[in-house]
Order: sequence, then C-alpha cells, then structure tokens
Amino acid sequence: MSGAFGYVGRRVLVAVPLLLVVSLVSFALTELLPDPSIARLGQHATRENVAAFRARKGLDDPFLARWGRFVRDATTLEFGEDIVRDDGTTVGAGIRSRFPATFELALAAMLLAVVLGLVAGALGAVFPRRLADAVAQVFALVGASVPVFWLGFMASLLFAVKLEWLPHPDWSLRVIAPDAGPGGYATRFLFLESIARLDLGAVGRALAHLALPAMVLSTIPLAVVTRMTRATMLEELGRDYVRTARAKGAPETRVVTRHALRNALIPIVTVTGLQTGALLGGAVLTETVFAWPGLGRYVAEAVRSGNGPVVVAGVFTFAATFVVVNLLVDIAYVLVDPRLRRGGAT
Amino acid sequence: MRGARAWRRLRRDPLFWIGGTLVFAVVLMAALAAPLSSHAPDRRVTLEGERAPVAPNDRYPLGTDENGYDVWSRLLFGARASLFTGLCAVALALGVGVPLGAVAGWRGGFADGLLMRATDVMLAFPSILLAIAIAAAAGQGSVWTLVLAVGVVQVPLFMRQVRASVMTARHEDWVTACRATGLSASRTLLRHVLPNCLAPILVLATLGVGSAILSAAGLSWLGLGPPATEPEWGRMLEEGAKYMREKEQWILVPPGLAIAATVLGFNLLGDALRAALDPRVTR
Repeated sequence: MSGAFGYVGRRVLVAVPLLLVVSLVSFALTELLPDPSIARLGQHATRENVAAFRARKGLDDPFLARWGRFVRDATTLEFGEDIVRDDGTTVGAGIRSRFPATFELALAAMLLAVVLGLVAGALGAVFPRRLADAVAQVFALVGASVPVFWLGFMASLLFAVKLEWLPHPDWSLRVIAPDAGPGGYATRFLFLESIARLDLGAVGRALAHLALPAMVLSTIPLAVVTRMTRATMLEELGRDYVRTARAKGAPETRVVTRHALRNALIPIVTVTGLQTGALLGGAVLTETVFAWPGLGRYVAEAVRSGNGPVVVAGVFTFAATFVVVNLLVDIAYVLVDPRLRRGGAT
Repeated sequence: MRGARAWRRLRRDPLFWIGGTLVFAVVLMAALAAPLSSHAPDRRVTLEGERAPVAPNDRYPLGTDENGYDVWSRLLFGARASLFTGLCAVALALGVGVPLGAVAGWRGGFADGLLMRATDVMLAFPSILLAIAIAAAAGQGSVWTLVLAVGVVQVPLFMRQVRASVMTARHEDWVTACRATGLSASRTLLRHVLPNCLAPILVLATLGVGSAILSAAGLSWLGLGPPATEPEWGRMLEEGAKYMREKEQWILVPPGLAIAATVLGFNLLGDALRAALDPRVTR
C-alpha cells in the first residue's frame, strides 16, 4: 500500500504547481479584460474619478503583488471584494453560492453520459456492424455535432412547451422544496440535500427540473464515451481470456459484463475524466439557455457586464475543478487496479 | 502509393460521402451566397405595412427576423462567416502548433519540456471557457475575435500531435540515412520528417474545423462575435431566442440545423480520413 500512497502523494505534489500556473494564467486575463472601474463608474466617469477608484481598490499595484493577493484570496475561496458591485460582498461569495448548481448539473449529465455510453458502446462491440451499432454510432456523432445551446432550445420546445412532459427548469428552493421548513436547506446542493433528507417529493421535483439541462449537456461527452467503450470492448472481446471464459461455459452476458467490461473500464474512466473539461465548458452555454443559477451563467453574465474580477475567478474555479477531477481519477484507478498499486509507476 | 490506397478505402466508406456532401453543400452556399440570396443579408428588407417577423412566404423563403432581415439570405451569407471562421482558426492553430510541435519533438530536452508544460497548462482550462475569456479580452467583437479565440485553444492539440509524430519518426532508420548522406537537420525535418507526419495532422485539422465552427457559434451566441447586423448563424439564434414561447418558433430552426449539418459534415469527413489513413483503425 505504501507504493500507492507514494504515488498519490506525488500526483498531489505535481498538481500544486500546475494550479499555481493556472492561477497565473487566469489572473493574467485581468490585464486584458476591460477595466472593471468602467463597469462600476460608467462610461462617462471623469479621469480623476477612475484614477481615485483604481488607487482605492489597489488596481494600480504591481502585477505580482495583485497576483499574490489573488492566490491568497483563492485559498480561502473569497477571491477578494466584488469591486464592480462595490457593496462589500466578495467575488467568492458569488462563486460559492453558484457552484453547487453547476456541480449537480455536471454530475447528472456525466452520469447520464456514462450510463448511456457504456450501454451503447458495449452493445455496439457485442453486435458490431448491426443496426443497433449503427444507430448508436450515428446518434452519438449527431449529438456531438449539434450546438448545445440550440439543442437546449429545441428540447425545451419539444418536452416543455409542446408535450409538457417536463417543467421549464427552475432551480430554486422555492420550487424544488417549497415546504422545507424554517431556514430552508443548509446547502445549495438542492438535489443531494433532498436525497439526504429523504424528502421524496423534493427528489422527484429536482429530477424533473434537472432532466432537460442534464440531457442536453450529456451530449457533449456521450459520443466520446460511446466510442471509447466500443473500441476497447472490441479489443477485450478478442482476447484469450474471453475465449477461455466462453470455453469453460460462462454465459455470454457474464463474459461481457464481468470479464470484458471490467477490463475495459480503465481507459474509459480516463477518457471520461478528460471529458469533464468539455462538460464544464458546455455548462456555460447550457446554463445560459436554461437560466440555470450556476457558475457558467455567472461567468457569461460577468463577461457581458464587464466584471473582469468575476470572469477571472470563475475561469480559475472551472480550471481548478477540472485539474482536481483529473487528479481524483488518477488516484481512483491506482486504488482500483492492483497492477498499478505495487509499482506506483505510470 | 499510400495516397492511392487511402483513396481506395475512402471511396468505399459511405460516411465519407455523407460528410463530403454536407461540407460540399455548405461550400456551395457560401460560394453562391450572392446569386442565391433573395435580399441583402445585413439590412431591413421588409416593405411598408409588413410586420416583422414575417412568416415564410413567396417573397421571403424562410421568413424574416424581428428586425425585418431576410432569414434565407442571412443563412447563405452565414455559411461564409462560419467556413471562414473555421478555416482561419485551424490555419492559425496549424501555423503556431505545427512549428512548435515539430521543434519540441525534434530537439527534445529543455525546449520540449517547456513547450509540453505549456500545453498542459492550456489544456487544464475547459476550451470553450478559455475561448470566451480570450474573446472577452479581445474586446470589439468581430469575426476575427472568433478566429483568434477558437484558434488559440486548438494550438496545444496540434503541438502534441506533431510532437508525437516527429518523435516517432526521429529514431527511424531512414532519418538516420538522410542525416548520413549529409542532409542538414532542418532540411531532414522539413523535407522528409514532416511530410511523413501529414496524415494525423490532416485528420486533426478536418475535425478541428468542425469543432472551431461549433465553438465560434457558441461565442457568437453569447454575443462575443460580430455585431447583430452581420449574418452569423450563432448570432441569428441569439436573436431568435426570445421567440421560444411565441408562434414564431420557426425562426430558431434554420441556423441551428445549418450549424449542426456543417459540424457533422466535418466530423464525418475527419473520421473517414482517419479510418482510411490509419490501417489500424477498424470499423
């Protein structure tokens, strides 16, 4: 086990400087984005007012000093004062209140994509070149080519307006858990907390409101997961151990699910982890379509309103999440795969 | 030799023909935008007394949007904008990524380490998000903003691919032979090694055009692209969005279908090329 811990420790140690450089690149955007004092004071502010504002908020300090403050504030998840709103709130408060909605949406979309992708990919590998295989492949490819924001419009037109099967997503406590009692929920993880409270009505409403955006967002990783599953499963099904399992009379479903799929999982998990990046990026567009109160829409709105500090902190939070997810994936399969556990290499 | 064999494989692939037809159709739309269009794409064309948006009729094949702009004409000229953005963005990524990747793979050592760490950092950002930030930083929205934003985020992909191909080729016997005949390092790289790495670059570039068009549409939809008067598919969707619950929902259909068909075309072409050029890929 010490090998595994050594490996985990090394991976964590590599992630720290990467996060620092990511913070540097994100913060460097500050230099390029429009001056936040214009967003605060308006287009017609006098030069003296702008200069006084910049001096008061420390915007004219040397770059390294401001980056140092950014890193320090990032470690406490505060990210400094929101100088555009200028009402004493911090950027971090805005980010923390929106992160849960994005987390739950991304998690639901990823689970959906993995389940659908595994089933479709495995079916395609078991019956290659048959109708089901072709349908799954075409479906995945079309899904990857359709812009998510347009798919969002079309899906809500169909399921929410025409058929009225699903509600227009409204991710607020008032709608999901109207009778949560005094104080409402302790967190903003509406779905996870409603499960934890065993409030079945709220769980059902949360699922109904999650369904449309999660379905739309899941099309981004779906194609890659399906293809990766199909390709690795085809490879595994041709191996000797599969022939042995069949020869000793194991039922085919068991050969596929217990033997081949298990061995195919590692590359699939790796690819899934890497797809988190595309998924988080897609969340910016999906959240904007569905007015989802998440981090993606927060960043998109900050871009429009010229709130540079929020854009920088949002971009950094997304990238840091992506780095941490990949770190967790790396660690997870060292713990799962006994071959990697001993050597600790690769 | 290899080209002929690849073409034989390509010719038998139905996906190649479907993808090729889709891309060809978009190229035709872009090339013949002026003669095919019924109106000017960038100004109000409705007559006195017509209330925009006008439903599709004889005068406006796909109707007009709320500003009285003809949707069919905008769709045709939008093909130009999308193809232009996609091709220029990939050209930018190729122009920066191929030389840097080749140097990293050929020289190795410190330069390689530095360049690869740089790609690690860029790939740590979700690409659309990085593109949004670049577009916001570039300010003044235009087609060039889109080209810059979606082109830059593709650079690390080309760098990695070219580096991997060059590194594999570097240690092969024929490269040693080139050097042994007295050919200079740069000439060996440019005339012999890089041409041998063309196949994966071609595949990546084809897929890259599709994903560049998709991302650019997203940025433009967020309002980071050209101004609303210019015909651009993503922007047309943004304009149409407010009609989602009205009876004019049809405004939303044509630009979305156009983006999807174009991106699908490039994705199919790229996949077919990969299958034809790489003998290991089996369908």
